[in-house]
Amino acid sequence: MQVCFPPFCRLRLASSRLFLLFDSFMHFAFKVAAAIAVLFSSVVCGNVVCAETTLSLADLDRDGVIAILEEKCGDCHFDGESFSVDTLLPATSLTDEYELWMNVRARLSDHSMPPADEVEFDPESRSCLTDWIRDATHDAIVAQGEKAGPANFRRLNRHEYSNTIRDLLEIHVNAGTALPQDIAGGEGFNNAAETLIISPIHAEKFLQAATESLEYAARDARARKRLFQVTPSESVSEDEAARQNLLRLANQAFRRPVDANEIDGYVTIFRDARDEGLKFDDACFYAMRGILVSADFLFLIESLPNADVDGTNDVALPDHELATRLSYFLWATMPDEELRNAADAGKLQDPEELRRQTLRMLTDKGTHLEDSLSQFVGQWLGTEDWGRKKRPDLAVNPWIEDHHVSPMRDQPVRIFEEMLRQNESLLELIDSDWTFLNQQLAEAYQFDRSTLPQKINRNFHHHLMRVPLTDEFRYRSGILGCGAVMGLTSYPRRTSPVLRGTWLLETFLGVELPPPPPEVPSLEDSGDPNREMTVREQLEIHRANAACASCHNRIDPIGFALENFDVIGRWRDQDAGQDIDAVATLPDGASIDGLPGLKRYLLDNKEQFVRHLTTKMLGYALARELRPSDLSTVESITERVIESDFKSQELILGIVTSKPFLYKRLTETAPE
Amino acid sequence: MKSLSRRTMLRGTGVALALPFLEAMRPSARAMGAATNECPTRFAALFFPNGVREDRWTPTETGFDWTPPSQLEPIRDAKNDVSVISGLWHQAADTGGGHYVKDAGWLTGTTITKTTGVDLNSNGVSMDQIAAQRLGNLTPLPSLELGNEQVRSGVDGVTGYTRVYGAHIAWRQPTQPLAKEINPRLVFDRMTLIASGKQSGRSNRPILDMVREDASRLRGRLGQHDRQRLEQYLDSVKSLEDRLEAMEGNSGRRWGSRVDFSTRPAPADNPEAHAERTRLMLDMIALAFEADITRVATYMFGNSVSEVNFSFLDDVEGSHHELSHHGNKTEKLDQYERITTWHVAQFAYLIEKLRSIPEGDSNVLANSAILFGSGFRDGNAHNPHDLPVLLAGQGGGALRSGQHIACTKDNPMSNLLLSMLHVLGVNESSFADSTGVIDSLFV
Repeated sequence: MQVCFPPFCRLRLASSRLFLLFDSFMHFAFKVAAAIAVLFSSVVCGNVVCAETTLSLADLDRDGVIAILEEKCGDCHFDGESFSVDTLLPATSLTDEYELWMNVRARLSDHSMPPADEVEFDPESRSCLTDWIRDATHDAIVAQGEKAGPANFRRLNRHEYSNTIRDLLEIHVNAGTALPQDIAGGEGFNNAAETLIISPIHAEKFLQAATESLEYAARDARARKRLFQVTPSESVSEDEAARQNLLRLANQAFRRPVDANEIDGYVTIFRDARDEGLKFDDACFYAMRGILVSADFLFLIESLPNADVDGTNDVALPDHELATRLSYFLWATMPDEELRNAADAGKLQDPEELRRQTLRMLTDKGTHLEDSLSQFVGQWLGTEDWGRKKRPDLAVNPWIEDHHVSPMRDQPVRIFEEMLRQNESLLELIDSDWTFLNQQLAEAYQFDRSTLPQKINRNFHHHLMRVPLTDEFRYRSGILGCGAVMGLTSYPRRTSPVLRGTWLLETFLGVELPPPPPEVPSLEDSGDPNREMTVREQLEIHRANAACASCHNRIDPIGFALENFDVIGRWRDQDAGQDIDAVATLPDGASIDGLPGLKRYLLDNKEQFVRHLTTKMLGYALARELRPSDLSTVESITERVIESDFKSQELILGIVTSKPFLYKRLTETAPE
Repeated sequence: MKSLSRRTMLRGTGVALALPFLEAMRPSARAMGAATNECPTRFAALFFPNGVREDRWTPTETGFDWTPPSQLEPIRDAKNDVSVISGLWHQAADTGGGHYVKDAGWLTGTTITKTTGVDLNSNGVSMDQIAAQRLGNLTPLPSLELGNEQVRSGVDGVTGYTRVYGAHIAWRQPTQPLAKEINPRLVFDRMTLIASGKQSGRSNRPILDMVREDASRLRGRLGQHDRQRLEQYLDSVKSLEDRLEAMEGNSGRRWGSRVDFSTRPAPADNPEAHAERTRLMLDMIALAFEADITRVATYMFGNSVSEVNFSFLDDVEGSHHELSHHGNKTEKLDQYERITTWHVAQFAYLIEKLRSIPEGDSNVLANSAILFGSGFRDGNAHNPHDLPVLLAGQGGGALRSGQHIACTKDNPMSNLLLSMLHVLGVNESSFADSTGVIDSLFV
């Protein structure tokens, strides 16, 4: 089966002023050349375009492609229109106009262009063109090599704040609970620097959270002892004791070595409080509050040193900045003692040590990895919202309770975590013979526990456990077997093939779907108002409209293949008394027969899947939107993963050893 | 200098626009807490997502004698306090598909920049924030941002917008939306703390002062863009410091709560039911206005593309956004209408609540202007023509309530927003694409 995909990642060129200037210059300079080139290339390649033969990839070159685009698209897309073919003329357009090329490719491959009433491409030529664009832009960008991104500066998000306070003070309290919700940006994660907005309410909330956390620590003997490792004595003055305690806390809180003079202010705060009658401990706690609301603590800071060390613009992150990136990527919290010690000793520049630390962090027995994966997986798939933002409708499933919904939300996280810890294949996310269940989930899914080995069955309670699946229950495996996914892609009281198809293509596989064209009649408008129709019938009428068909021909079949899952992901063979018809046909004529067929389809496109997952995880790791220059990195990591037979740890290792992860760019991006 | 009262100023105007800014119109006390016998004018903007059933919103009659169409039925009893304003639009929002452009720009009158984050920009300051910047020094909180609904995770891949846009109508700066509180209990606790006048224990001001001083060291290590982010944090620290200073009364600037919070019951903590949460949040707006904790509030019944499950209403099965795509099918239109009607009923609840709070010789409603509306008209078509807008209250005597004002087609919504500023005594000469105030609103 051959399927053509639009671009797999949505990389945007930074539209800095500089770029715009450059753009208009280029535009001017190439305008004349453009006209000539078009003429020239249409002559030269005219036979390719006009002959009633199918294009072949080997025959194509840049001029040929542009000539075809001029011929097929140029009547509408000429100079002065929102998109003009001329813009693609300069030789540098493959990199400079990357986004534009990607849009051209997307419109071609989803059949939304040329419009249906214009001359059609034969399917082979169309896929030939899109393949050429994919390969050529890709090669041009990759030829530029891996590049570092900007130094990062962002505040801790609510989740990271809670985790960091927990680990810094060693208290078990959710300190960030009263902070405003953070909203995703960039690649879809709420750690993205660009959308971590700061409002007047934040200082107030951080101060309150700091105060309450320290009050909690004051009541906890163990935590208190950690904070007061030095007490005043005959040989140690109060100021000195306070200084040492404050220095120790700041040193950890700021995630870097702190100079003694940076503490002066806090010691003064302590002294003033003490002079005004606060007890030693209370005056210390008071000054500690200052550390916890300082920008050094609340922000992850990668500084921009003045000197351009190498004579290049990319410099390796110093150890402590690297340790911080690593720790917030894999654990969503501050570095632990071991990682910090390695950074203090300057060891992280050593690739072997970096690898060792990374693998240690992946296989660490604690829950730190889950702290981060709950964010990555939950936000990538959207399952974080299940049971929170989106709750199952009790009228449909009156029996459902929090103890069913909450493990549903955790299930994909635990699957991902297990895969990483065991270094299993990333393809286990698509299909495998195991999943995570507990007693409540088994109940919710109507899972037959007698299929489980006795040893597991005996210990089967509240904790999610890895369980083997017999062939009969293999549909429960991987991400598609998770009820949270099926719930969140349903309406409260009915399933939606459109929501599910969109989710699978966009979220799971990284296919870029264009937004619905404006003024498109909605689903029901297209139908016969006098007759009740099934969703499938309605959608089929909808797809008869060419404007809708270009997308829905691709979306709906995928959704239909998942119709055996009901609104909370239970398996069903019938819906409202009718047998489920989960067979559907893709635009290229290939047939997908239910869930097994869909899994085959995904496995046939496993490179696309891995490339998309890499894109998402790199975006999460870097906590920013990816840029075209990151494409090269995405490619090399993807290749590395494929070469290693899809081993999941290679994905993580590929990210942490990539240039954008290890380096920062010194030149500053103009504010956008 | 004697201040002109806003009523004097606005009575018989329409000329207000033409007048130069008068120094005398500045609030007389720069300090917090104007004379206690003065009744402040308040403003709230209540946003609901997903539009309305368009054929049952606008009354057929204009003027004071109009009959509420079915969706406005809940305000029948409050008709004299509410005006329907029809014919307004946001030209700047007439672009891009979907909801975000319309919703994020509802109070700014501008076109937001399409982005998943890097270029986050509303390209304007929202009307409420212009008011807050001018009146904010009179109350502990310059403004209060409230909502009801968690934001969905991820970015909206299909439309290419970050959901930051769908969750914020208040923009302090074009690149700074204001985070909102969605748990009524936290709002109540926050106000209680403010009203108590003093934080327990030692003042936090020295700490905050040092945080700001300390950050100067950091500034030099950051790029320009990042420095702006740091400044936003330091601004937030500064505004807290200022508030504490005023509350702790060290500068002779005193503000006193008009409500004894210890006599008021605390609302439920993070209630799950949408209806309950909504009511409690509206109570918090009323309480904030009554106590004079703020004079400017915005509230979002739901975020853009809200998928709140409204099956809790009789004869509704499904979520808000799902049903707003009604496809002109009667069955769906009826459910869509029930959802909008429910929102109007919540608005009516707030109206009644504010009217029940006596103040001076009238009540808080009489001293307020409460805007209620959505970012587009029909949920199927998403177009920002003929926006659904209601306005309640008499704005401290400035507004002639109880009318249906039918503006000529495609009058700027910004004219209404400019009018709101004038009601608050913020006599800007223009706002976004405004062409003037709406004269017939005023007494």
